[in-house]
Amino acid sequence: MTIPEDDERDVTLLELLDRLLDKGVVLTGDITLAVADVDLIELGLRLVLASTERAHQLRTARAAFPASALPGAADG
Amino acid sequence: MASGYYVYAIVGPELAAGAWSPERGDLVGFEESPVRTFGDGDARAVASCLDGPRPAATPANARRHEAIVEALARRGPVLPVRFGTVLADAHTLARSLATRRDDLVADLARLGGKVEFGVLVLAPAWSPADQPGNIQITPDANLGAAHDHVTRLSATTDAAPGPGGPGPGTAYLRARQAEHQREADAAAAARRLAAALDDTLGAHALESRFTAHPARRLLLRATYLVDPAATDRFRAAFGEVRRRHRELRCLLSGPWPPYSFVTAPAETVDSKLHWPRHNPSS
Repeated sequence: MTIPEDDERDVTLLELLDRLLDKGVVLTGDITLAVADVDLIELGLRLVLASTERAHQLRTARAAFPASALPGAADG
Repeated sequence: MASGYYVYAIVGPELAAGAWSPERGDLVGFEESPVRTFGDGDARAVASCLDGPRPAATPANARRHEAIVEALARRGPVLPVRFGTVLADAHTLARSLATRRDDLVADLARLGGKVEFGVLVLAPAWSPADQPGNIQITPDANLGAAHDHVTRLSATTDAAPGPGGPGPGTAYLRARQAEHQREADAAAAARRLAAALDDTLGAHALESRFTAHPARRLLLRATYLVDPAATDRFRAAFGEVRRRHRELRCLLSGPWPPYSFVTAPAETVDSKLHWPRHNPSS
């Protein structure tokens, strides 16, 4: 059983936002983004990375062990 | 009330006058306004009029900005402008272009027509305590008091453990020490990995940028400037990195317009805009 690579798509959005909001040509007179915008992105980063890790852990674990043999399988 | 011009990209005169005809109005920007070029020098702005408020930083708006930049990039050399750049009027726009003219012309020559790839490397393993749902939010005042307590303990704990076993303060101190050690290990691993990546991926790139351990779960963020003709070789090299480092989670994104390689203006941008750093150099 494989887990869909949805996290790849999330990471692409994250990478897009990182570029658009934090990089690119800065023109004089530009107004910087509100702090709230940045907080939103940092939150997004944490969530995306957490879900990416979790999916990776699950893939790795399922490749190595049958589900019943995993310790702490019921910890979720 | 017109609030100004929203700028998407910088182009040279050849794109403004050549493959893309602004009069055709075939690129539609925010508020469904036609996208046009402004200015008449070596570096011109691609922008649309904005009547309402500045577009919010939502995924949909970000994709729209990006779609316009990518549509331009298919027609010729282009520099992507940071999201949310709104200039009040044509005079401000012209002055802004003039102020940065040298940088923009040099960047168009160096970056126009090039693409960048992003590489994210996640650290290999995280304990369940690292999951966001398990992070305990402690009020700053309590955290400060606990820190003071630990600081006092730290002078004695190592030399003389208490007779009754480690107390909560000692456990906290040990957790903090372990955390610091993990951070240091991750930063060192990130630097080694950056060097390894530079050997493998750098061979197919024109320039590269690294940020070691930019966030808790991120070991490394790397960005590579690549000639479009070399993207297949770059992707193959990335596949090789993935095979060689199976213990890590390596993610590739791109090709992007060369956002990460444009020259920064002389004055510094608001530091609040930068990603949180965990001070890997200390």
